[in-house]
Amino acid sequence: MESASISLGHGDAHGHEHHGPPEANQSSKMDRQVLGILLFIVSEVMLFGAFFAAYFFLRVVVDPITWPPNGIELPVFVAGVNTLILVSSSFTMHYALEGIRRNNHRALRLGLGVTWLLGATFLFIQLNEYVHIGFSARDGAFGSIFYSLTGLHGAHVFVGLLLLTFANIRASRGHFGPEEKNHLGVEVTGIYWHFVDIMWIVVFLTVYVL
Amino acid sequence: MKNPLRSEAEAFRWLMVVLAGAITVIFAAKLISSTAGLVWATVLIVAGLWWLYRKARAGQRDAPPTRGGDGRNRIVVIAERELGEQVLVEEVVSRLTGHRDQVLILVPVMGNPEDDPGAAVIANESIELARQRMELSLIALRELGIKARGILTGSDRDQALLVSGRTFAADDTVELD
Repeated sequence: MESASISLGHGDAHGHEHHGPPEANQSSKMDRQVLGILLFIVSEVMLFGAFFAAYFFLRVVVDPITWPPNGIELPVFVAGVNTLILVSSSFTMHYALEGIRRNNHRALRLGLGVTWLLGATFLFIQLNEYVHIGFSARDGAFGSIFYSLTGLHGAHVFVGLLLLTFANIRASRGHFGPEEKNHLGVEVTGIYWHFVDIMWIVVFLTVYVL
Repeated sequence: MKNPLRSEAEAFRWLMVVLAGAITVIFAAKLISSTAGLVWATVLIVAGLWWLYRKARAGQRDAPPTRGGDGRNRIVVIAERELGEQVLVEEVVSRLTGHRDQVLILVPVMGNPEDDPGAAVIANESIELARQRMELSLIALRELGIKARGILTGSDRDQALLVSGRTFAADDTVELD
């Protein structure tokens, strides 16, 4: 018998008979979900990296060397409070995940709900900051890079809020369970949310502190 | 190299590390100067990257060499005869190393028409029996949390091994006959 014809069928550890087209080939070196998240995070790091590179490039080459330019006063205290709000939201996100791991649906709903509120508060305060900050994206290199960097991050928070909205709706409908495969929607949202928080800490340090 | 953000808990730990580093940078910037804060931040980033690099290298050294070259221990099992699932499971478990084991079960279909042209009528029945055997074995392995898949093959075990070897670089071969 030819070797190509001897494989008559196959199954996997889930014990289900496969219907429809054959399953897509998968590299044996890395799980596809892990690979997907890794590639996504790497691409995001590169995206933010490009913006940080632009920021530091402008900071070095700007003439005269006053950074931020004279007359611009950044609301460091407000941004600091906003940072605390966003970091707090990561704790509530973690609380939600720990809750569902222990099959505590109330903790999941509470954690996700508070996380959403904190994220929305952060975004509202940032938009309010834009309104009152006193310069626009057209006011020189600093204005451009300030709005680009914080705006890029704000867009990520917005996407995170959308993910959290879906997670909240699904949690309220009882879609999630304690097993890992049954709360992947919250797990991935949590990873993304923590990543957004880490990025904000770096943005805050770069733009407001250093 | 392992994905440092492979779970929410792992990402949260990273957030805590970054937060702790950021607090020290803020102190350096406010108590000394912005330049000092920048230098300290650079030192922390370089030290962090160096630590990650060393950890990744150490992980590679600690992982036992495998034929697939990726640290996964692959076991191919040829289940030629009908055996109780318990025998198969015990044999497989005895070969596990705990280093991301993967198991492939080859289940030869006995009584193929090509082995015996007069046996064409029973071929379908043989295939079905082999499939059931394979599924029961997979379920038994799954219950122990062992990552496994199975393939029905022709009755020639050498051919079956050859074909499976193209996609499954086995580190260990178990023959149950």
